[in-house]
Amino acid sequence: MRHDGDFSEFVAARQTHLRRIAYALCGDWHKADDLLQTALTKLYVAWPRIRQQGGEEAYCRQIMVRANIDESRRPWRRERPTDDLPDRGAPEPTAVEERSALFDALQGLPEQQRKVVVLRHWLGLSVRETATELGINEGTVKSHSSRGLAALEAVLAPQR
Amino acid sequence: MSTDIDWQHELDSSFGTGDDVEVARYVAAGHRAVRRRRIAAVGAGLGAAAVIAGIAWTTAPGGASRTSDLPVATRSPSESHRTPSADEPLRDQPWRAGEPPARVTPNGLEIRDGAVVHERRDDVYPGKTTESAALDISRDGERHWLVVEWGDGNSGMSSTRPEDGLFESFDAFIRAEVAHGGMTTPSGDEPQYMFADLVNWSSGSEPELRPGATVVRAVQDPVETKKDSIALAVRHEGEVTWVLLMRNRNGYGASWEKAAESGWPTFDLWVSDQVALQTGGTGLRLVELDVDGTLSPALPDVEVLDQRADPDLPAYGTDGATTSAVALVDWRDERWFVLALVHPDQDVVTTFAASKADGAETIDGFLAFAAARADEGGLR
Repeated sequence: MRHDGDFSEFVAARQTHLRRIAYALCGDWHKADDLLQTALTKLYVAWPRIRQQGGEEAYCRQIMVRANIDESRRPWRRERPTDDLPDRGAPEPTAVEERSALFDALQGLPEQQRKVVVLRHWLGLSVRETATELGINEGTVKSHSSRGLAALEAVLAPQR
Repeated sequence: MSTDIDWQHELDSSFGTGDDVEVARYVAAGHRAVRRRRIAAVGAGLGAAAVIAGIAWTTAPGGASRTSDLPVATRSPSESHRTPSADEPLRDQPWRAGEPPARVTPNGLEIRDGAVVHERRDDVYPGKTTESAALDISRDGERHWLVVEWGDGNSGMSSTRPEDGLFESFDAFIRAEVAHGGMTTPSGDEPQYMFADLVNWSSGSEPELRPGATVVRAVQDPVETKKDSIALAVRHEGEVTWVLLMRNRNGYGASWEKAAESGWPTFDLWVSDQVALQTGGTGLRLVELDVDGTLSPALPDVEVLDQRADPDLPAYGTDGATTSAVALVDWRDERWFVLALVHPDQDVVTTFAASKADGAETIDGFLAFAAARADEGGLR
């Protein structure tokens, strides 16, 4: 397919960052891999249009943030497209010490609060961009942001 | 709330980095998705707001020659015209809205009246015993590239539209199809599972499942108009697929859909919808669309929570609809989104459980979800 090269370059350059976004959203590397695979598969299908618009990363991110993360904490749907590639071993979970109390607290937030915090305060999207990405209004972004950060701040406070 | 915390830094350093995956793995998954999409698009493409389910009809082993052979069809749940039956010769069946203007009948390839064939190449799989053709064809302003293969008691079609941009030329499309080896020959020595890649079903036998697949639910004879039918919820590699198998005197067929991708929240509702399709019913309709674009409850226990006229979903045909609306409704303690379109020749009502819409809670959320799904063949 003619766009394999461009797509491969994009994946090679951005998959680490995109996987971290997925992990920040769901808190599980296996699920993060699945989220990313779903997003990249959709991106591949839509590549000619998305590439032309120049929004490859935003497209992937939007698919991942709009996934129903907490719903998917029930048995996870996995695609195993491995008919011509060997299965790789399951990725090792990040060592416990690599996950801070802050990250655990982030995972303890309600799903929409967590998404707002990730988009707004880690990835640096504006209130409007966050609202658009999540399909919610700006007031909701602000309230989720305020509550989410308040909860996280309580975790950081003892360390300060 | 404190404002001196560098949240970007704190969050970024709060967790590590996962393991990268070979890029080829993602490319391969993309190839498969494109191929699935092209096959799923047979019948409607992306232009129709539709529930899409794989529908396959195949010749009964050693069976009659007058059997409809359609690998996959797309349909809307509320098409006003009659649903074709496998008991009828396909040539006498109506063409579905949005269906590509060519199909395989027991008499061979049929080109729809009014279609213009810009280019045709026969026998694109010269090493095989089947017949085949590649068509660059248009009708009513819709252009399609098709590869059709038939013979040996089976048939298949792959379809794309040039404007989708998946292939830079008709030649490239044909080359890709030829590289896949065709649609009717198993690509290896492993047994092929005709329906949903999970199940085989031949005359007089029980459904044969792919190794590792298990039946979670089964409903015997849900389609009373068929000689035999069985609906199965099949789990394979952690994923559940809903399959409806049907048999009549001429052949057997099936429709299927992955549970996670379906707009129906339960197996029973999906089966009911499929039965309605097969028997010519309209299926579940929660709302009615008035000429002024207002949606009102079609059932006594439906409550319309929010609605909007003229939604902007061009991939689902809102541009060509005379009236359109989308609503969030409550029915039986569950929330549903309904997209209703009125076209000159048919009404299309797509009902989608909110719980299956990737967390969408509002009409805006649903519209965004539906737009994203358009790239994968639409709402199912």
